[in-house]
Amino acid sequence: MNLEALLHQVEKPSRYIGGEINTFSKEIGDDTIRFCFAFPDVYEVGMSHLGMQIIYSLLNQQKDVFCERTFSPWPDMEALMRENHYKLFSLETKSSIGDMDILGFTLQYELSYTNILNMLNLSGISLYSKDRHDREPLIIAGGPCAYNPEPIADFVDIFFIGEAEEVLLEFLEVYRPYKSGQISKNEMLLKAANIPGLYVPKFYQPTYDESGILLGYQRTEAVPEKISKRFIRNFDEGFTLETMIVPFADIVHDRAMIELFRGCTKGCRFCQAGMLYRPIRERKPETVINTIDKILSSTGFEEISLTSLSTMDYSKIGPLVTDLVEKYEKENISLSLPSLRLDSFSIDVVEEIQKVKKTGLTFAPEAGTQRLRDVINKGVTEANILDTYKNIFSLGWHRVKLYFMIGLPTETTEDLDGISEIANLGTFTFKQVKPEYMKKSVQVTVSTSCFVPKPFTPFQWMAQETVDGFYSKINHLKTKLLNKKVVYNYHDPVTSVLEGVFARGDRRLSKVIETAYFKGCKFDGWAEFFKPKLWDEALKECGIDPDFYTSRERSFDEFLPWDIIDAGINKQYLISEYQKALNADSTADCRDGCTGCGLNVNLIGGPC
Amino acid sequence: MLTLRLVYTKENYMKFLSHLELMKLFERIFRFHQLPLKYSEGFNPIPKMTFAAPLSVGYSSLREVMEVQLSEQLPLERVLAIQFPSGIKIIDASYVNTKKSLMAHLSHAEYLIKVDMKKNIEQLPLKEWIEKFLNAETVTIEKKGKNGKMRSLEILPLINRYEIVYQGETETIFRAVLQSGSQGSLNPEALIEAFFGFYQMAHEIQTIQVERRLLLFTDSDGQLKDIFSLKDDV
Repeated sequence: MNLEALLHQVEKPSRYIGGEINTFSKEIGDDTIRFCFAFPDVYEVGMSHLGMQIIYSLLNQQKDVFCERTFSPWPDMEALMRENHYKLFSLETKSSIGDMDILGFTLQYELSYTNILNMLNLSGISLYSKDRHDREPLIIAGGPCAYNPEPIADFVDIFFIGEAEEVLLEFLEVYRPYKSGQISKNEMLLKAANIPGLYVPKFYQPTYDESGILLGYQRTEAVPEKISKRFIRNFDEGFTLETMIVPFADIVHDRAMIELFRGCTKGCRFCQAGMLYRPIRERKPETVINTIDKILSSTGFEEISLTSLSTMDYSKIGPLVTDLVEKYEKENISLSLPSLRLDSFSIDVVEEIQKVKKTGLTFAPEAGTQRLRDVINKGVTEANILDTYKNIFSLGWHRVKLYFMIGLPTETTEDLDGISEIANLGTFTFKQVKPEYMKKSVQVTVSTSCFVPKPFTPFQWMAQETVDGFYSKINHLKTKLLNKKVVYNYHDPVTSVLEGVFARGDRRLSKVIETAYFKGCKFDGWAEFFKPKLWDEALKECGIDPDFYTSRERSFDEFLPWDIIDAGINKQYLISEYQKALNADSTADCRDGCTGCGLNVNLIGGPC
Repeated sequence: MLTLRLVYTKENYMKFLSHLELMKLFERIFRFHQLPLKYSEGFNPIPKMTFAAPLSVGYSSLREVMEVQLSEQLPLERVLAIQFPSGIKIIDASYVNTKKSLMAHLSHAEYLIKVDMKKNIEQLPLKEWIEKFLNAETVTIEKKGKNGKMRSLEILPLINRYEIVYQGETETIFRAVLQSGSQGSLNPEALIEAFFGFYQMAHEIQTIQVERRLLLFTDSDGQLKDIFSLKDDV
């Protein structure tokens, strides 16, 4: 059966057709490096990812590289493909993925690992790196989860640690002589392993003690002891995405995206991104405005999103928003800001961009009491929350969403009760300050997620809350959040605990992922496909106790699986932040003075 | 205000775009080609565009018709030069001055229908079968009504023309002109199922592929005409 015949039978066939505006088509010659960017989730999720757009554009600007895309087929499509022996294909040329030179996965979340195996299997590619012959594609991977690559280290040939724009091009320099047959695969991998930022796991063999604790890695070749992360030093002048693929299907984030800055100076202790993407690097407002012009004039998007880890902290956000609104209002192009701070300044900016329309607003106090917010160093005060309520409700908003985490270190019942108090404060304040014309009633939505301690954060040593513990906290909140104007949503603890296993796992988990995959696990991040029972079986069959990775507190001197990666931050800094957390001591924003994480000394060699 | 009427194709992989996806695509392409679009009023202004008839996902078409409102005239050469993803191409354009709506005036559509059967049907007297089928007293199909309940629909009055254009071993191509639009529509796949069902062969159908060839309206003389030529005086 041909592809069209399959497409006639599936839901949303436009996921598989390619040909969107600004996609590439290139002549494929003998020396063309065929690269396929692989997103281990469905098209609508993958296409919302800015990193994919950046790499697609960057690689296709290289003369001898043709970068195509592939995504996880939805289960209806997968079933048809398997039934008809149709292999996974690229969207651009509909080539079998097995014909690619390089397959590059992005690792955005741990629960996509089984989808990676499924994509390899659907392509007819051997799962284990050691089993792949020279004719099979080289499997590379990058993205935030690459900072602890160990759970999938047996499947991947090379991990890219940190920002890939520069190192991808450096890597191609060592790939070309391999492609032309001048050097062997092993020689190519060895050269790659000596490029800063590239981790080739096969040259690093883990050793464990009898209790299963990692002792370290033995290097089997002349490769660096640690792999330091890469980042673009001059972000304003570095590679800038000036056009985007415009998807047909209604994807999750369907709009023009421009990164205002990378990094974050807030120092929230739970936040892995805040630690990984240091230092802070802003783009100039002129660069931002010029880039938006270029993107809009080649895509026709009707919305612009100003992205970053904390957009309100862009040093010139006020004037930038005013300029953009003025420039694009006439063309009916709207502006969206992905993250809002709880302060009056943010409200002024929001008012600017939503002059007429009052969509819901979302804020993240993260924890219910001042004490716990100090523990996690989330610089939000009770006064900030009250002021925000007063501001938004008096301006005519009537719906607000609040995000919290449960299972944070030192959390008590009082902290949980604080969540309900913050929600009630919202409904109470609404009645006091709402404008006279407001006839609608207030709605406060409280969402809780289950905290997963992540590598390279001050909480990387702590025990994660157990599934039962999370449930009892959720049940407690259910009994507290009885206010009829408050809606309570919570994230499933079972998936968060499995995420916790992989977030801090070691290489022994590769076998578990393979076992779970062959039992039928895939799309684990999707509630309708998540099969916890099969994961339990897989863990048992592999003799792996998940509690070892989740609810076990590590000592500061234990060698951690990700200690082979140098993220630039000193361990001593993380320890001191952890100890400050336990005492509910906050640390100031490092824009206001260096807090000594070590990045400047370790990776920059000067001030940030 | 100006109404720009366009004829375009929807072929190859583009036939898998849903109607919503197609509308979004037109909007974005018009936007980055800087067409002087007119927008609807309200909180979410959207460009004023109308399509004569949505096309089912998976059907290709040689001649779709749509209209877009502009605030100023743009030379037609510029309009015809607008590039769409491969499979969609603007093939004709004109400015029209009519209050008549494409959707309201659409009465019929012409289709080519390629049917692949599970067994060899080369020897079947399909021409005679069609004649007998069209002259039957009644042929009804079950169709989901607006309230979600199944209702039975008499289909013969909805068939303007139905003929065979090619008969191979398992593959047959039919041409049909079927009623389409606000006064009721007959879907070409439903016709084929009813036709082979009439001869107890519906289960032998392997696949049905549909290509829409023309969108038609009925003029004052009762003639079917290409809806692209719809004007106030016809």
